[in-house]
Amino acid sequence: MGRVSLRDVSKSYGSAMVIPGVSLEILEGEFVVFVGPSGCGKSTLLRMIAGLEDITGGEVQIGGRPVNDVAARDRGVAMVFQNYALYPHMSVRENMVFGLQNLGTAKAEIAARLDRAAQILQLEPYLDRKPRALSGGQRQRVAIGRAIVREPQVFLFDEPLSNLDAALRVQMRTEIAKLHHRLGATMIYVTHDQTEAMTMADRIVVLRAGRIEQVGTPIELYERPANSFVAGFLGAPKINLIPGVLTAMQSRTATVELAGARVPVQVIGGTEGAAVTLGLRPDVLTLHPDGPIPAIVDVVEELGNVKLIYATLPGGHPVVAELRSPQLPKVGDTIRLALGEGQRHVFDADGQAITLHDGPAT
Amino acid sequence: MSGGGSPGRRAPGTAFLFLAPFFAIYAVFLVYPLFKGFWISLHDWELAGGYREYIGFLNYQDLWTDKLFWRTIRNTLLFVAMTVPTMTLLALMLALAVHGTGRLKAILRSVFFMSSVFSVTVVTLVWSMVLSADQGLLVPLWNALGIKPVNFLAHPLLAMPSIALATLWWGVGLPMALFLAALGQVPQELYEAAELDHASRWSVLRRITLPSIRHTLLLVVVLQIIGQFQIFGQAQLMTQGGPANRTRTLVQYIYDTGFRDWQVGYASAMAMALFLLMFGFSMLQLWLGRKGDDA
Amino acid sequence: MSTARRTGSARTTDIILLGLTVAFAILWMIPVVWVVTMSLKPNVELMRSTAGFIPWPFTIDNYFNLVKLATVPRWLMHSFIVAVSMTALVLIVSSLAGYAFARLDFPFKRTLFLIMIAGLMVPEQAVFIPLFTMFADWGMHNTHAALVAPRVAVPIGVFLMTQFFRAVPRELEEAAELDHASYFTIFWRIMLPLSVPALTTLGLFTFIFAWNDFLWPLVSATKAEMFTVTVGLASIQGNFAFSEGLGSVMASAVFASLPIVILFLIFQRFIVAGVAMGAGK
Ligand SMILES: Nc1ncnc2c1ncn2[C@@H]1O[C@H](COP(=O)(O)OP(=O)(O)OP(=O)(O)O)[C@@H](O)[C@H]1O
Ligand SMILES: [Mg+2]
Repeated sequence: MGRVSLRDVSKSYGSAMVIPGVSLEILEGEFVVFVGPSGCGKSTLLRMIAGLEDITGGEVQIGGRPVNDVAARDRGVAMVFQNYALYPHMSVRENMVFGLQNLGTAKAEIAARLDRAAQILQLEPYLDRKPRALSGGQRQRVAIGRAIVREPQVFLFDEPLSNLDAALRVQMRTEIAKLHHRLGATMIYVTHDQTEAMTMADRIVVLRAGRIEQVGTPIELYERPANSFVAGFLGAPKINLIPGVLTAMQSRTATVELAGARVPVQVIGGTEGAAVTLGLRPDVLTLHPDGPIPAIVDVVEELGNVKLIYATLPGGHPVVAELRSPQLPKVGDTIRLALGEGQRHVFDADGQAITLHDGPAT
Repeated sequence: MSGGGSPGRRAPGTAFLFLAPFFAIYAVFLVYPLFKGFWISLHDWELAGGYREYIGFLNYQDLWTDKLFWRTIRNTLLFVAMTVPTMTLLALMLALAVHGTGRLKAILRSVFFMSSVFSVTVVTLVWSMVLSADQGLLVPLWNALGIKPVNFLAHPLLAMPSIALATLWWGVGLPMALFLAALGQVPQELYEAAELDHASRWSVLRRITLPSIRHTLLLVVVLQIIGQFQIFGQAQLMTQGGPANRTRTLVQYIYDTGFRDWQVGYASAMAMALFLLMFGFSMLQLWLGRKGDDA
Repeated sequence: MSTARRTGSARTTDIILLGLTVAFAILWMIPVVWVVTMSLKPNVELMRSTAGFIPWPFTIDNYFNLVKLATVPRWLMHSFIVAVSMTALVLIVSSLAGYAFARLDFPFKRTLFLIMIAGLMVPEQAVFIPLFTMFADWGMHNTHAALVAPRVAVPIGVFLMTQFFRAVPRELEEAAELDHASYFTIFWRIMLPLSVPALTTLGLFTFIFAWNDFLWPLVSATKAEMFTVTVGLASIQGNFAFSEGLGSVMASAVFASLPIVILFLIFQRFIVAGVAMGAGK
């Protein structure tokens, strides 16, 4: 019922190809998050699923039924918009039941569903207010309420939290996650925010320029990024991507030579002497007097339990380290960074991962 | 004015249903009559009795040599030349004066707009009275000054300006509202920046306000030209075209020819001439405006 | 003009300009005040002198006579019927077409839009003679329908509504679409309620236009009992003054203007706002 399949779906505006082709299977009840930089086509893809945008090529199926030629109103999906798109002239109650009225649902049924949705979202006190008399968070809840009263198979969210302040965003994030457990419906969620993606998703779809870069669970993507783009997109602070050269190749081990340092790594593939990029998450780096990587400290940020050191490598490349040690260097100090626990990612000249991971791929 | 604009949902069936009422009425009561008017103008066509004979462009030839026709064209152009610049300037000055917040400004706006809601009959009645030589508003003034009261509407040189004056009083509301709307859209930061630059009032007006509303200025001028070309009621009711045809306007002549003399063929030929004249003028204006924009 | 602090001399200039404007506004209203004054004076008094702005000696006989005569109230009724039905039809027709132009996509959209806009260039004088012959052929002169029908397809109305609908966030409509609303439901339940300000402005202008319409009613309504108040007043201006007296003529003008002035005072705030909408880029 709530399966969504994209079969080589493409989109162009006139001669501008925005989405060259996307294929994806979304299972019933799954929470899938689309992430990617601005303009990569997340909204476009979502709107094609909703039926708000014509599909240039390929096929979209919802619940096994091809819907390319089905109007938005008949696809059985509900959408929550970034700017809420509440009907300003209708009360919260009218906003929420508008869809059911259009479907000709019985009055008693409408009332029952409204009550249930209002209760779930704690909207009972506001039912007779107009949207303009609500706070941002309340409006967002109404927008979600409007979607859930219709009990659709598929929910679509287009950056629903981006207009909220940080605290409210965290709160709404958990509310949506709870809602997903409670309703068990398929949800497709678009966001810029990698934290939202990491915390909410069953699976994350990373998009770039209208193509899927990688699909997988948050942990998979974090631990085994298929390329430097995905590695750079997920995780905060951002992964350090340091250019180097692959040397001393054995069957599975090798060394990446950086400016003034050598880092042993495990790889599959790759050629001796090739330019590569070493990917080190900030928490992999530690401070050690004999560490192999020298650097000069630019900025020190104390965030309570962790400290961020922004430093520059001899080659001029910036690097960030996330430290837990109590003693801290000062700005201008020359420090030595060592490599602690954690994956050392290696990407070839095209940015594709050639990292050898322990254990089987999940 | 932009065209069709950004595409919306593709729904031709629905769209044509939504458009049908407008275009049906438009076709029957505007497009068809326009062509029929041209058709009538090719005939010697009498309103009553049903006499009609196809005469080709003879009516137009007659127009060419009709002194009164040229007279009315001249009068109409004179009227347009008198009213359009003054109306535009007055509307702009009033808009600048009453633009802003506060109760007093709101009342002033209402006052200057209010005279626009009266019908032409009331306006002409009011101004005929005001300008009357024996019962007029100004009579006590003349008496006090010891001057013989002027009969404005019967004066060969003053009749037309009098009609123009009444027209100004009647018509300034809409252009003023257009200017007010435009002034409301000028970003406030521009004025604040100018103030920080110690710009004088005059240079703010010339360098910021006027350039910001130049589209509206063009719109007002075009609308005024279109509107004032059609002058009929004021002249008909205030002077009946007199004295000695000095205020007879083209539309008045069309009306008299068609509905007093029943020569609708000839009247239609004049109506076509009016249409072309107005069309030409507004096109010229738009073209000049575009050119000004590009420069 | 500016909300920012001003120097002392600039504020003085502001006050002087405002004072001049107020003076000009008083001058502007004098003719109206004078006419109202005359309408409240006995006709005999007016024969002596029309001067002064105080209605003394005072009388409301002029208005009583007007109502007694019954022609002016009947003209008022015609004007009401014509103005109300024209306004309603213009609003319906313009908003339907405006919605299609603003929000739907269909073949020949640009062309149809241009054809519609081109109508702005056609003055009524270019078509009133053929219209007259058409209605004569149909035997429909001296009816309300004849006064209304040619005035219903108003390009500027469609233009205004198109502009307004374009400014409505598209997401609202998309949300409604996902709420299973048909195009007509979207139009009726979302777009129209949102466009009340635009409709009010358009309605107001249409009503004033209809009320003051002169040339077409003059040729179409030829029987005195079918006159609108605008045409009717014109017909009595000359000889009425002799037979009934100046005060009565003034009273009839005031009486005929009253409805439209009241309407204006109620809805005036929509005028500039609406014009801003229509003239916006
Ligand atoms: N109507 C259009 N015509 C042409 N190009 C368009 C149109 N709409 C969107 N695009 C282009 O399609 C691309 C994808 O847009 P889309 O809105 O899907 O991006 P997005 O990933 O949602 O970005 P954001 O995170 O900023 O919302 C963009 O490059 C945009 O410029
Ligand atoms: Mg987007």
